Amino acid sequence: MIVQAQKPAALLLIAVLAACGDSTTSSDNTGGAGGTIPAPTVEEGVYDFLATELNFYYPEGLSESDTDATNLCGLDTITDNTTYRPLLFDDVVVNGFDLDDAVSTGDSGLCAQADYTGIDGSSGVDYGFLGIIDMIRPIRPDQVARGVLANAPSEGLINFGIRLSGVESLENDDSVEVFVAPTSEVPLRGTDGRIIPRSSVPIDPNPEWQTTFRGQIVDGVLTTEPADFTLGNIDLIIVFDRVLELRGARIRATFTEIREGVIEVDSILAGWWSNDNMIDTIGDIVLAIGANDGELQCSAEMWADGSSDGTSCDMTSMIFRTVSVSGFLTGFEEAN
Amino acid sequence: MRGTLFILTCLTLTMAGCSTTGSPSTGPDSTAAGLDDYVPGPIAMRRLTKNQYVSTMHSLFGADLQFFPPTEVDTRVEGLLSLGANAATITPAGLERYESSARQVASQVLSPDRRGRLLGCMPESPTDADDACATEFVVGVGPRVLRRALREGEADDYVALAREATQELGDFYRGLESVLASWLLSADFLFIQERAHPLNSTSESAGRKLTAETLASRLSYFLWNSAPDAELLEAAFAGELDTDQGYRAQLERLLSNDERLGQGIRALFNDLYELDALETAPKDTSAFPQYTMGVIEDAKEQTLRTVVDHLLTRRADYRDLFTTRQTFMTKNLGPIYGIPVSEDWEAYEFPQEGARAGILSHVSFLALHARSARSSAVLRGEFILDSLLCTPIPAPPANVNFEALEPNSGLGDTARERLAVHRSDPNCAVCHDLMDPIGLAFENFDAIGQFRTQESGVTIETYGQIDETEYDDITGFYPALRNAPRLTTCMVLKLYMYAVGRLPAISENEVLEALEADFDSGGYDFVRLMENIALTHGFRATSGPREAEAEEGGA
Repeated sequence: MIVQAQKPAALLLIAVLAACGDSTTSSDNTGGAGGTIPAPTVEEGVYDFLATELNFYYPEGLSESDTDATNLCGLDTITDNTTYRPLLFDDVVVNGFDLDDAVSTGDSGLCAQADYTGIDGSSGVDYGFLGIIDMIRPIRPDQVARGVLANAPSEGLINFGIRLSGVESLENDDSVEVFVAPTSEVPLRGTDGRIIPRSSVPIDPNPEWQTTFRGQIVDGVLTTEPADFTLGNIDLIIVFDRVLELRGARIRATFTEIREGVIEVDSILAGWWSNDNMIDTIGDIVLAIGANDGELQCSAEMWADGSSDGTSCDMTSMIFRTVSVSGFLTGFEEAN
Repeated sequence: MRGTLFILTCLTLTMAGCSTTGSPSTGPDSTAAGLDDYVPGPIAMRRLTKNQYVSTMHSLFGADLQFFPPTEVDTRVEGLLSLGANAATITPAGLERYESSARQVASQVLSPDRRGRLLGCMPESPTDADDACATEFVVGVGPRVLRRALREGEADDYVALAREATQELGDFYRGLESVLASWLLSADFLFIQERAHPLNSTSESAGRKLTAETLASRLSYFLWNSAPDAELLEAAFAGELDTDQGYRAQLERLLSNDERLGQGIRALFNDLYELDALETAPKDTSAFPQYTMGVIEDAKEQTLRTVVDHLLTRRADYRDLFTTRQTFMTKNLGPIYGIPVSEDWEAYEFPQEGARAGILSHVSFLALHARSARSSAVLRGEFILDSLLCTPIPAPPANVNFEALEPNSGLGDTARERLAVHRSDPNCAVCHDLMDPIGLAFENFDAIGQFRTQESGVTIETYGQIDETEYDDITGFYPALRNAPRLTTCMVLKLYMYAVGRLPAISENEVLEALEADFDSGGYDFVRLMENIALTHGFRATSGPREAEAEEGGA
């Protein structure tokens, strides 16, 4: 049973919002003559971004206990876990959403798992997958999965773009559209191996892999309403062409102008991840990087905190963290 | 026909610089062509520049040829490698590289899958000498490679060489390889050798007429940056280039081949703008990881494409090269310019009223004339003064403290502030008063040509002055440069030197003035200027050799 952290939400909020610099924008970053600050808009009110990092969301402040754990799943395949120490979730706040509009305590109803405190101090933030992270060593903080996933965009394994439209201001705007789609090409990489900001990449034309959110921006923080999210073209070293699906997904993002004409977006993507899709998407790669056979299945069943049919616990609340930079999405004509 | 095309172009494209004052074909209208009572400068003996060497090989044997380019360093004179070639020699190490390249090329050219392109005969036995087939090769290929007719008995000597090599190596084709390699190592190939008729054989005009073969090479390297093609050489051998009508016919033919002429214009601007140096210009990759090899290659190509499109395809006003917003874009360049790009080399127009216009706003110029991690108003200003306005700036004294110009020098947040401190020294001010106002206009562009508004958090000011014209920012600089009289005067001078391969003699001042007047009256049509230069007496004649041993030279 996870014990909810209660305190340092304010500190994390400050850290996140500190990244929200002055994102004043104008439309001509090829070199406007009028001395206005250039920004990477595609056209008036439209901003494109390219994902440069993707990862499971690891809250600040996770630490390991000093007690030995047992084989929580009771799997025969787990033979050596003597170095395993359960994660401590005390004092941990989570940048996520209350996806089910309920503050769960772990025994409050069907599929109930204890919720977390949000970065704004709110209660009921759902992140069941954190329990799975706790149980599977290769995906815990500072383990191999973190690097594998983080580099997936720059390695050309998972590439997607985000288009914000109808934006009057990246500081405050009560109605914006957020479009997310995989790209059909890998963005350019620089001499440092990272994706080059302001690269142009066509979106994948498959409409089934595109998601449109509605949202608003308040004090530099973008928050979207829920939408079912699908992202195709996912390759993870040994698995290819997988499709990630999150139900009732939401995005929260902040914007920082890291240099003239380049904005970095730090965002979380939260939603309900069906256990089937979770295993289909990351099961093989998690096994390949050192998880025990059956461990993901067992963990998912143990930590599922959502139900697709109201009777079985077959979904887990999930949070991904992504970083994106200014870029240009092309190919909308072909996609339409 | 060309006049008709010109009018149609004017009507359909409504080019800004399209003059209605004359046809692009000069003929008797050219004032410069009518002058022939002066003695031009001496003949030149130019070593092929690296680009000319590569271009010549490709035009002779095909663009798919693989070989090591020469390692000899090309030096600049008056900002032109092609002029520095006039004083270039070949070092022993350089000769070894030439030999290696010659053998590589000869081996490929006479390989089984390629030999049919040049050789119409087959030996009776591939392992034995065949004088008849070797003669066909020598007589057919030799003049193209050597850019001259074979002299009496020379063909026999090469056939004998092929015979001996075949007997030694047991392979007819390797015998021919030896002959071809020897040509590719000869001075006739490695140098553009110029010869003139003796004084007493010329007409009433002053100076000595260049031989037809020399004229063919001059014309071809000037317009196409390559060796004369078979038709031009044949015209030379037939004496057609010795007549005004025959010469004009060949000139017209070369000018009407847009692809080859485009290559010639590219070569000129590649030379004048030092674009090959982009590949080795150091950049701080930690500060600019987006500055990749793809950017470097595309930046050079972007400028050259723009130049050819503007000057040749559109036949637009040369001066508008510095104000045009038309260019081409690639995905590699998009991040530097900060714009979306759908397809490589799509036509692109910089936004009106934006800070970019003309080829000096291209990444190629801005990145080349900058330091590795910062912009350089000095380098940019110096290049424009020296190469575009023909106002050379002396090299800085050896004891200049360049660190004072670095952003962390403490002498100012912006380059303008730091240079102001630098100019407070009267010794520095002499040159910097000329360079800085021009170079500072480009301070909105960083070390790799990205647009910026601030340096060290301070808003960048880009006002300045060129000649008597003041401007508030870079958008005012472009038209100021475009309208500077020195711009076209300098282009005429540079192009003339490029064409004849030497500095102009004092006696050629009048023809340079006439060329400029023609350039002006012709709407600054660059191709017309090339044509006019090719028609000058100075292009077709000489005062004679610089060295006494060439005195007996003749066809």
